[in-house]
Amino acid sequence: MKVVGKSIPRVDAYEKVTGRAIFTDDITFPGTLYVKILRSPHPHARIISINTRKAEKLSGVRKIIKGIPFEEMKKKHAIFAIGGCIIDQLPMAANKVRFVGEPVCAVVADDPDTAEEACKLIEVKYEKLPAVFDPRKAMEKDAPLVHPKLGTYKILPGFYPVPNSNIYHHYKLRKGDVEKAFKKCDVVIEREFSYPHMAHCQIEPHSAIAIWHSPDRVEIYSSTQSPFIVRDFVARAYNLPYSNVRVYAPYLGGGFGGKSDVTIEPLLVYIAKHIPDRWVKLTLDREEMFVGTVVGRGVVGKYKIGAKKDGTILACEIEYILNSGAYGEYGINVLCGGSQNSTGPYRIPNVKVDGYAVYTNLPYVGAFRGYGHPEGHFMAERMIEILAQELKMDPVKLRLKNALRAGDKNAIEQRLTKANGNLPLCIKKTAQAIGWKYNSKNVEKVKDGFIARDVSAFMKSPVQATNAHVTAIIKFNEDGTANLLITTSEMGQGSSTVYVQIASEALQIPVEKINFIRKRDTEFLAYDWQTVASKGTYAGGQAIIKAAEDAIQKIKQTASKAFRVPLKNIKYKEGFVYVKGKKLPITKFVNGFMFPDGRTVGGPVVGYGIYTPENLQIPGIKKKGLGEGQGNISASWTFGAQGVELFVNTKTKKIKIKKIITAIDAGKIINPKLARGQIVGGMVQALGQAIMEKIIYSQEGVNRNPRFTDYKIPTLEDLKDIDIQVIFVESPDKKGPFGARGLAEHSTVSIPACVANAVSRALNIEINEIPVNFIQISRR
Amino acid sequence: MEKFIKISKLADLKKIKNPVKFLAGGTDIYPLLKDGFLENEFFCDISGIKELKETKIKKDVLEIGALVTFSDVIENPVFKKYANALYESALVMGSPQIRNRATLGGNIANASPSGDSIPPLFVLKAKIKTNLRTVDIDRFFMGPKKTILKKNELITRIIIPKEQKESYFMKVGPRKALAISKVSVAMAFKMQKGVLKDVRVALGAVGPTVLRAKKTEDFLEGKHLSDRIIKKAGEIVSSEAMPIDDFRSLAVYRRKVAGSILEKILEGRLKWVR
Repeated sequence: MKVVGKSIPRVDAYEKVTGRAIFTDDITFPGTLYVKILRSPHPHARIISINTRKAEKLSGVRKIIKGIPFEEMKKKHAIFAIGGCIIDQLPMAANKVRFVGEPVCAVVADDPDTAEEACKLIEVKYEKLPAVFDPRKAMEKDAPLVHPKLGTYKILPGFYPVPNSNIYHHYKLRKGDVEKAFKKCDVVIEREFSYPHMAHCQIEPHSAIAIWHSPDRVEIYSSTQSPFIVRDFVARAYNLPYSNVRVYAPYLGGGFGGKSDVTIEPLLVYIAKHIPDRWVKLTLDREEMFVGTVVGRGVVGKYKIGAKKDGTILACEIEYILNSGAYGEYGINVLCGGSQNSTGPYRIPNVKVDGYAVYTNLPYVGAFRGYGHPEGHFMAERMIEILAQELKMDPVKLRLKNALRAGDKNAIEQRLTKANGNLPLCIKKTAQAIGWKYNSKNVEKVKDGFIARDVSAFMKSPVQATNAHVTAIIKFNEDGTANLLITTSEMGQGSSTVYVQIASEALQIPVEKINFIRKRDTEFLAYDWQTVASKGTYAGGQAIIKAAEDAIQKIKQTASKAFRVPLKNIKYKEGFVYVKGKKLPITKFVNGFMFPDGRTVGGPVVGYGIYTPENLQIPGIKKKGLGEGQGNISASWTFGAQGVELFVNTKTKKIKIKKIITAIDAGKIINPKLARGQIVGGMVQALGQAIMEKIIYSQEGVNRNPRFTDYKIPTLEDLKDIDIQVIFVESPDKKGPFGARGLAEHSTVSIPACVANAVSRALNIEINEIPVNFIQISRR
Repeated sequence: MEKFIKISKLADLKKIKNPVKFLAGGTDIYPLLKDGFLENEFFCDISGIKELKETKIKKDVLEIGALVTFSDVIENPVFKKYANALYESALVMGSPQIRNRATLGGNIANASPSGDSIPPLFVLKAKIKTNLRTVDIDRFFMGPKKTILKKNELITRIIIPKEQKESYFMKVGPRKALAISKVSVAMAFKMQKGVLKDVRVALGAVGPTVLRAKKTEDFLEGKHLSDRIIKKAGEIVSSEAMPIDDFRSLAVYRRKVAGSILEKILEGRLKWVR
């Protein structure tokens, strides 16, 4: 292959390093007004009154907007409710607030400072209601109800809310018979785990600028990973024709799932509706990034696993509880993805999973790189470690013994093939690279502490809609260059570069001839579900290859007409058409073929390609011949293993990471340097989660560390002494472009488990809570 | 009445009539300002007062201008020579950007129990000179964010005696850079024929203000360094710390680690003796 597999420079590098790349907050239109949101100080309260008189008098204030209660909306036959799988949220609180940070009122003003000033002049009277923060408590019978009307909410088939409770979805997965299987086990262990809420910490904060053109057309520029989802939600919430809603997504300064689905857009459109024909802009400040949009993780769980003496795992029973915060739309599928994959990448014949998505009076949980997998794997990989100790077996050997291989069926009854990758090889390579000594403790006493190692495995699949299409368009220009159009968002991950490489390879023309179009616009481009689930390369790449094939086919058709030869006698290679013994450049065909006398046949060449996931099913809908919760939800799987070597200082109780490794079988690697960058980035993000990150809430549900002063993420300084290794195992995928599979989120999945395993083994303790830090260590 | 004035000479202090907040590097003021805590304050920008940016080496003392930045402390070799603990604290304080702006005077006036320059100044027997008086640093702090400074009283210089002493600083924070100390320890002593003399130990972030660990000082005074003595000193310092549980850390952790840091400093010194 000419360019696939080569580390070509990023196509967006120049404009980014020179500061010319346009991000949402860079965009302003003449007459733009600025929005500031007044947020709830209470976790659960009734709004008694909102007095805006003083604020309205402030010079420069244009409009102050309050929420409209459901009942009033009903009278007007317009319910601006937000949701896809579960519709449980209004764009702005009305009657009731459900978490600290929920929007209560918005000020639109000539400048941001005035808007902020006016917010301080608004007087809101609340009547406090009992609140609940702990998901287990929220599941108790007499717990305060976050949504008393849960039973009446509209919900898609396959999701199971429990009315008059805080459980808005109970996902069940059943395979085999765990009760019987546990009886056959020689060892059965059970443990509890917890993983706190965390923040995505994208460097670019959420930003959107929108206008409601009267009477019924909306334009939104937004820092979103999901322009088509935003369009869908906005059109449905405000009852607009989809054709009248335009969503434009400029470059993103980091997404990590926190900008997927919808975030601030329905709120801003609600505001824009109240002040039509003016652009209104909302950019969150850093503190609002912690309290005013989705947070991540937040899982507690119980895990029971049983095995025979020889290490064969027979059964596991898992309770996976998502502390989902005040609204459900964003977490409902995190719960499915997370609990479904909480077996870890192991062959377990009997599985019982109960996943509960639970409302609490905290900010709502959404997608976060890993999508439920790091939480589930934290439990699974800790359990394997503890099981190995009970069995007196080497934990890496135990993993190898039970690792999913070609021919095995996973928990949801998909049969894996060689084209899904080679997990045992990844585990072995990681063990070798980390210096794993088989049948030894892998802990060494050194001055001031211990050095310890761990190897854990992972799997991840895209948890996606069954109609998660991607469309690619390749538009040839008269000079033989091509424009590549696809809505998949470039948020730093490098998709635009990889797409150019795939297009170049498929069209057999140099990368310089391909112009990647940076505009992601629902008005001009065709449907693309959203840029999530590590499927950008896998799905977008397939669409591009099909578009390239379509374009080449059209070139050939023109040649066939022009030279009056059957299509099969025309060959295309590397930008040339071979016909009747002649070698002609494509420039002769891409805008129709012109005879010397001016007569023209054929037309401009536009290639069109779609990726559409095949035969996917919604896990919650019962299928014939399958257990509850089983079914084909994942278009592809990527397996791998991770290793950590660390030093625990028993004096300062600090953990120093010495080495981190990911071995991943992501099939063919399209751009090794970019792939490595993404995997390293994921490992570092996971390392932050493993040892330093946690949102700390007060007893009243107030975020105590909503800024980088107290919410620490790793900096370069923390990384400079770490030996970071990435190992690619490249078993080709059957469907993926040139054999590629997804790899974007995977490196976040098992690092926390590795760290907890290594520290637990070093200190002879059990750490089953994240983050693994001095607090946990010094409590023992 | 203007909310913001700027003066460029110390003498102009007298002209200020309203009570003001002094603005030097702004690294502590800015976050407060953003949070709306200083909305009704008047500000006086002193960052242009040249005479407060100098460090003078006098016969017996080092006279440090209050506007000397942490970067200055790192770059000017005189600090490493006469005030090593202060130099070591500057190395690990904030980030390069913050060190370029943040001043010693500001770090003292802000009076945070976790202010990185303060424990070193305690053990170096610093005196704080203001436009009105000169005070020992031991008597300067009244509580968290509280000092003896009166309205419009400005720290002008920090005076450190030029004794032939060794001094050290170490801190533990949540990560390597840009991290508020969870615990910090400064210590100074003279080593005479293998015996510790004139020992001073100060602890940061484990009490309402930076604390002197007097029991530890008394214990170490006149002792030969040995592994046993170091271990014992660590235990004593842990018992002297008065930390609290807060969302940044746990008291039990801070107490233990204060001991570990002191031990680490002394172990380093012991290795050198051998």
